[in-house]
Amino acid sequence: MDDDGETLIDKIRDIDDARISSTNAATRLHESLVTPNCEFSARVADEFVRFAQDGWQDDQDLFPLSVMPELQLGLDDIWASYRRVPSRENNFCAIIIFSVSLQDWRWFVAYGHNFGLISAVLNFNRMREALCVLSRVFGASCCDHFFDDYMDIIPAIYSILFSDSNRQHVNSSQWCLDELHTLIGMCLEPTETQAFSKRERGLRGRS
Amino acid sequence: MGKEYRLPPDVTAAGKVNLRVGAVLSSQRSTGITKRRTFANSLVMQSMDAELKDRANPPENVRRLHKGVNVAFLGLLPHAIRGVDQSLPHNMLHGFPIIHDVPDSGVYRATDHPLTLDEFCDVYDAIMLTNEELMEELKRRMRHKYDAAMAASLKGDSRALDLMKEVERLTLLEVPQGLCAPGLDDTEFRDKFTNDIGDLQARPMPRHGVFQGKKVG
Repeated sequence: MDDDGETLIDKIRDIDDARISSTNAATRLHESLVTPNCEFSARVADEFVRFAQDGWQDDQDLFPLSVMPELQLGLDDIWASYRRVPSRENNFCAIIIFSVSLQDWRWFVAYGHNFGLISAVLNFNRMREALCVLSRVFGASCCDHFFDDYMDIIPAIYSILFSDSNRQHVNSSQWCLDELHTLIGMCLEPTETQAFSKRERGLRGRS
Repeated sequence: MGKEYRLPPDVTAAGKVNLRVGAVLSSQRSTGITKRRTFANSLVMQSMDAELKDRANPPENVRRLHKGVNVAFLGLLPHAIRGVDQSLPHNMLHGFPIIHDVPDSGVYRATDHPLTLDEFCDVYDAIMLTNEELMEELKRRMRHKYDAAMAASLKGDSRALDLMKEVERLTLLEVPQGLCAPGLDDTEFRDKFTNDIGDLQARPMPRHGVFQGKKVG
């Protein structure tokens, strides 16, 4: 059970061992991934404090000068992350399992990237990075991503203007990020969305 | 100590915009997304997307995964914001390089590989000479793993066997989800990836299950 009384079960993930196969040794990369760390939310809040103290806001009816706006955090996830990024060399995405039901080896070839390839980390994150930049530029989203988990922070006062039966927070920066994914054709995972809230249960993949 | 974490500058800029523009921002977002949606779904963009995919003529796996992606629209977005990752749409169209010398996308921190390209190519070629050997080695290892799991199960500890069953279940689940081709036996696998002169052109990886924290049941 977690703090909210919900039952927790072990999360099992398939890992493809690209070290034993030497696939990673046969890969030459020229860049190294940079991710946000756990300070992201605090750093964004820190920026808002600084802006408030500097009197950045024009909308002083909503935000009196030097008053720190209340912030909310929204979280999103993407389904099947690496698997949905097409690989150019599909013959290096093959995997072997021993099928307990067939009592024999079975070979499978993933269409996208395997979890275990060093190149998968960069290739997958490129799309996430691009979408975060687009959402920041087009939607003023204070968002970033940690692999397939998105974090988005917004002043609470702007987060809810109206909502329809299906979606909360229409026109929020989280909505903008979601819409950009939909326009490109790589929809976010609706069941994993945690809409803007003052209290979040935490990022997916907690341990 | 690692380097101090800093926010990306456009996150800071977005925060300023939030406070400067205020509540009007919501309607500006709505208007912007509506315009982009109209454009992305326009006949011109849809036909351009279809033509790009048709001309690219990518392998089957790429075709399956980029089928629902609006590559034409994706192609315009990096230009619209002068983004650095100009090859992203091209890679979505043709597939992302996963092995050998993977070009720098320019998105992340540049690093130097310890080997020169010539040195790396020698290593690469040497690795590729062992494809057949690897296939047999992996079969041996996976059989050994199963035998050990079965032996433990017979002694009352079924955790390893249960994990192998779960890996099989999760792998089979990827097929109807459109993420993976149906399973092959040895002969089918060899037929698919052996070239005209009899060399195996694939380098498979063994799949294992790992426990990664907890999730809500």
